Amino acid sequence: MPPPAREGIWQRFVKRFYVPLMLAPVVVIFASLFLGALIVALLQSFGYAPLYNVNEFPTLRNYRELISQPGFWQSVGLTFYYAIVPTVLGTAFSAYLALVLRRRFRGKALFNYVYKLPLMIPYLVGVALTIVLFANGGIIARSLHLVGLIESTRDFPRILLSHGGWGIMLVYLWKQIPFTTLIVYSVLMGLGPESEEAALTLGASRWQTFWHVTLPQIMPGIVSATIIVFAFNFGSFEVPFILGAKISPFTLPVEAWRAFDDADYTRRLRAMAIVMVISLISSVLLISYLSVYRFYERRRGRV
Amino acid sequence: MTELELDGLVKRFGDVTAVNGVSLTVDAGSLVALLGPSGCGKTTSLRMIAGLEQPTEGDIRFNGESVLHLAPEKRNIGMVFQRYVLFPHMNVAGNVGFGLRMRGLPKPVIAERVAEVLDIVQLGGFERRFPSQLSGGQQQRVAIARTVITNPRVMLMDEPLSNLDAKLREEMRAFITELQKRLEITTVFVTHDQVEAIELADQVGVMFDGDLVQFGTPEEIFNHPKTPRIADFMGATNLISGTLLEKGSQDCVLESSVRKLRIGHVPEHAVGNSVLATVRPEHIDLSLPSETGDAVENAFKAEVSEAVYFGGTLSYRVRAGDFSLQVKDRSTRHFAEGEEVIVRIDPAHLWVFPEADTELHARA
Ligand SMILES: Nc1ncnc2c1ncn2[C@@H]1O[C@H](COP(=O)(O)OP(=O)(O)OP(=O)(O)O)[C@@H](O)[C@H]1O
Ligand SMILES: [Mg+2]
Repeated sequence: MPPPAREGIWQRFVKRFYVPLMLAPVVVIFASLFLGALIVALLQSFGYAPLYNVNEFPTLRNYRELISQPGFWQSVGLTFYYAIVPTVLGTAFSAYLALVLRRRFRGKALFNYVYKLPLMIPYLVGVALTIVLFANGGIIARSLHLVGLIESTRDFPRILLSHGGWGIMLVYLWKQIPFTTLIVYSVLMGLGPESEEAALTLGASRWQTFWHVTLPQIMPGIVSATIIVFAFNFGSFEVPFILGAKISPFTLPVEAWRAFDDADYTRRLRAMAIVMVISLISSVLLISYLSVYRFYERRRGRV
Repeated sequence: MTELELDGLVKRFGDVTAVNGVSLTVDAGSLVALLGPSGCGKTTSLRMIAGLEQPTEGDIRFNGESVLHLAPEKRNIGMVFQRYVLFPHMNVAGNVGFGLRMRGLPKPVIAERVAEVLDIVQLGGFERRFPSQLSGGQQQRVAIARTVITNPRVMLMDEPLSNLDAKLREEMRAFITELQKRLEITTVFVTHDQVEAIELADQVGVMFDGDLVQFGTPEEIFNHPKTPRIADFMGATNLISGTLLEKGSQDCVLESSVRKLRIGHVPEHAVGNSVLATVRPEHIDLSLPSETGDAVENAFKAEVSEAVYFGGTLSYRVRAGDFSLQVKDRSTRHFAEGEEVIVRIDPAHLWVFPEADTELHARA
């Protein structure tokens, strides 16, 4: 028998660092794009910006000024409001839609295709659509006026450019309901009808079956979808920028943009502080949400 | 106790007729096995009884009352699925207590009943385990416990043992028989394994292609199959064709190509008709020509064309004229391939099929 071939240094190196090596391309891109940007933003928010001839590093001035700025907490509240309401409404509606989609009905194939369309269309198209439909001079207002339901198009409730933000949330829903539905629907398909049938034969009503058997099993899908949707809404800029009210308070991302866009370059440091606040709130929330969910799963014997 | 009656049950899925007019009665407290090859409509029949599928035609009655208008959750049945289908997010206690929780019973009562039932299925102490932490056999027992706890009027079991290994299957078979007798639950048990059906059931229904082709006691199905195809499915592969020569009061005589055979019962067929008869492989005697002459009743010379040792018995194929018979010999004697033997068939074990089904007739 020949002696076992000695492994060269290279082979041993590859063997030992196989996984890190495989991950390297992703890690490099991730680090340079994401971490790089984050570090620059972080440094600037703490007063290090030689590019604008500012170097007070380290200072908390940008944060202090931001928090003491009138209307800051209203901004935070508004951002939360626009992020949470459509996430909750959209998730509930999507779960319902996914359940309906499992049934057989006429035109299902077509519907199955059409409902996904918004996924392929940019947000801006949704924004334009909302303006065309829901503006006070929009199609709906004009039609209502035409049939005499409202005296003037000005009586149509203000959906756009108001702090109520229904226009903003409509765009989010338009895009995100297909997304969440798709995810929940895939989970449902993977699940199959059997455990629900078992529940029915054991005497559970349709409603009980949903609460006790279906919902707990589609929770992983719902949790992932809500995390993604919430994080997007919280950090979304262009939708509230175009469709939101044009007076203070603005959402945090819009505030950041206004600071960044200021003629005074030094205000860009404030913008970076806002960006850092957004990231911080987002991650703290999502991490706690995930750990609550994991706790719940662990109590149920999973993970 | 509940008597279950299926009356002309038909289920069509578009062009496919899954169940084609099944009628049978399951006596209160008894166990009926639905036996048949894959795709013959067993699961569909069960699903209709459970209310998970609406029959295209026919009626299902519990104690004479139609249950067709009742949703599954209102029928008070128990169903054990082929793949167990335990709720993965609930532990054993949660799974077993599910039916009672849905009925709104108080927690202490449920806990007590769960403990009781887990004791019956010998899983006391497993309350906190999750399905993923159980073996196949344990999961199956949880599935059974989950259904019996609600005191179902009818229990439906869809090949509950087919996912278990041979040894466990035998244990579970004994366990199910025992449990069913003890609790006296009217049960329909689906299987494609004839041994399982024979061992478990009070009555067996054999299904082919959506039709219920024979319904009777295991003994009847085993020894007196209606058609060659049923016999074949029950493991009686020997076919003997011939003409019915005469009919007596207790017996008849069949003229076959090899010799006249006396048969210990009187078939319906008219004298002069060509008929098919069968004999189970384990009911054929072999001996050496020196021991038995071929002058003995129902005996003839044959040659051993194949000898195989299989599952504790010797299995032979013997040829005589155009006969080719399979023989399972439980004696310790050993015949060699090519050896000449005397084949003897006890008239009591020969059976003339009352009906023929075309395809196997052609093969005979
Ligand atoms: N939902 C359905 N749609 C269309 N055809 C179906 C449906 N369910 C069953 N069938 C068909 O009906 C026939 C009977 O199916 P069934 O599941 O009752 O068979 P089975 O006897 O339980 O078979 P197996 O032993 O393989 O489980 C099959 O031909 C099957 O393809
Ligand atoms: Mg089946």
